[in-house]
Amino acid sequence: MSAPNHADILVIGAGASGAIISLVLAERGLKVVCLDQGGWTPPADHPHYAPDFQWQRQKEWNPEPATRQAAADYPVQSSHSHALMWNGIGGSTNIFGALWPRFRPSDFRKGVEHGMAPDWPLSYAELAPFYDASDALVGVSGLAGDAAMPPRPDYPCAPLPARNSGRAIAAGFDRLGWHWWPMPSAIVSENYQGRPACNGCGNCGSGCPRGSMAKMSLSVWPRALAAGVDLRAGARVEQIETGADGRATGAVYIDRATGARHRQTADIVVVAGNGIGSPRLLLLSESARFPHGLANGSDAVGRYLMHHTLVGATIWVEPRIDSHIGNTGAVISSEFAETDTARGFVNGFNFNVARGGPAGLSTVGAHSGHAAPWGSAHHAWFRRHFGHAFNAFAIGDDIPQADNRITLSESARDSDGLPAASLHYVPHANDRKMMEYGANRLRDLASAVGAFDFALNDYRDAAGTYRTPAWHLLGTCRMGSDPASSVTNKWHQAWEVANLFIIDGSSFPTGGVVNPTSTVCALALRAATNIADCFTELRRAGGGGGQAPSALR
Amino acid sequence: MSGHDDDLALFLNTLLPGDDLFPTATASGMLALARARMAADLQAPLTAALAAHGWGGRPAGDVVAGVEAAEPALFDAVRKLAYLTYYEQPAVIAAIRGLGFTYNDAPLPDGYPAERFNPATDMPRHGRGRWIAADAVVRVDLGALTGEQA
Repeated sequence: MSAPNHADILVIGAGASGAIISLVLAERGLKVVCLDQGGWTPPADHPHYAPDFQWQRQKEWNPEPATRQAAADYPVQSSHSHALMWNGIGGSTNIFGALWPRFRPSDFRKGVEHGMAPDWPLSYAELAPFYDASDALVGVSGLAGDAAMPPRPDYPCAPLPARNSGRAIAAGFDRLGWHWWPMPSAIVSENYQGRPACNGCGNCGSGCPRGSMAKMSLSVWPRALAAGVDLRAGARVEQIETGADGRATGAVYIDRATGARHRQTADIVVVAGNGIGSPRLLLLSESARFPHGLANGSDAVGRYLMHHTLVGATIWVEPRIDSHIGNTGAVISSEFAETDTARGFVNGFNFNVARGGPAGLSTVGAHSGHAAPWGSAHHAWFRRHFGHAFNAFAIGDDIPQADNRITLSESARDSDGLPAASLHYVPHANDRKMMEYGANRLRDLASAVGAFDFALNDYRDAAGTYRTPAWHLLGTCRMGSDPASSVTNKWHQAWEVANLFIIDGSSFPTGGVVNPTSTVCALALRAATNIADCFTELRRAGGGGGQAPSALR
Repeated sequence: MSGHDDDLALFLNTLLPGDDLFPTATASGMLALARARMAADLQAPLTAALAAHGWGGRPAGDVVAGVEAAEPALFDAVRKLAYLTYYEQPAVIAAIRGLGFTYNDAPLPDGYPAERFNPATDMPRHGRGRWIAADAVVRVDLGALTGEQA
């Protein structure tokens, strides 16, 4: 086994969080090595340039590893959720929708609000400056002045065009007297830092090979590489190693091209593998000192998995709105974002309203779950429906439950022989009530826009089992104020391993009512800045013991 | 269905029969591509399912309806394959354009005509929306909740 040069920082995972952490620390002069089990996804490999782009979305560009079965993926056995992700440089930003709303202040205070979930150990106010800086880093388009959110500076880019589709959707919310706002998106509406403005191609679902979306391999990674990050693709980490003092010493990884094992040592190890990959790696890293997995003395590693509640609908309106054109996210509504127990549940949800999509995906019911009829009715259906649709999703804050968790599979293994992940997720009774309520509000929206057709998707299969498309993989290495119930402190530092940091969606104590990547990036920026500020103290800090070095602020 | 092109053509044309603007499935030029895509794991089960419902001896539409009812997962997969393959054919894209849509063969490189956010028409003017400051968050009345979630 080779042992390359010692690094200051080892980052495991080159997705949104890993990219930002690597950039910040390298630009502060630290020697950073980043490992990712996947490879680069060159722009020309995206399906956007071929007429079969919709078919590719079902196959090699399918967001579900279980269907895609790419060499870089690891199996995720799941009895319920469809776990969605992309393993490679840039992580799931290779295929995400780039919706970029923020958490709201009350999202950090659910312990106080109702006690069915914990408070975050930090506040919105502490995170806000890093939201702003992250927006500037990745390039975000939007409109300041939303009365449903705390004041914020102007966005780096002007809002994306509303188009006829956005105007029709907004009119529906106005008729209901409900809040709406242009969707903040990490898609540049104007040329920005060498990246071209979005040209409305309408295929956000397979990422953006132009770099108009914040695909990290085209936005943050070029700058990180220029700063000197040693980024190694095809490097699958099998274990984080620890020394006699309990500190992390580095990691052993498999070069997927050769099968050779290598050891990379570092003063500080950062895990950024997403809400499935990060707990999987910690569980794989068990040892005599950490018999239940690294940093898992609380037994919280892998637990409290959250996806958000989700119920959606495709809504067809009379005016032709050419909804195959434009970026995915059109409008957000925060009308129901705050808890109102008169509705019968705690927590809230937002509406994400998206455009309709291209012809093929429209006919297969990609969002509605209801395909167009076959036979003599098919073409009449198409003439009536295509170009008239939008998709609305009620995305809500699900209750973190200890039994919803990631464990190591006892039977399945990845292509390198490492145990696969096993996922269990069942929504809480509170979540089910919220989804029922959200479904009824979707019906209200359909009525308000004068819909001539409406198809609800509650993501239940024929047996009634909720099988959510789980883009959002949250909570499985949560931060907290109490080492007994969390994995890290507010700086993402493992309670039990002073030089181990876990920084990604797994860090979230609660999920909020929004897509999480903007918060992942803000947290990464905050955590990395702190590591850089405290690096000298951190490299000296003792191993276990549960308390953060005093240098951590 | 024997698996020959004639059978597959009839099956696809039953799903997508065409009209005065849209071509039939086979006239669209999709047959060979559909066969290739189906070959991996769908051809054999589809053939068996159609045979079990009387393919060749009953009207094709009746047989397809029987498969749809009896084997929804298989039918959904085959229908998805058929629809996606059909809608990427140049003749079908031409028909979509014939409806008056600006519709590209592929999303890129062209994209669609640029627009800008127009504050005059697109700015929200409703003034709605609220948020709760962190220090204003207080314990809600959980007595309003019922059943197992309380």
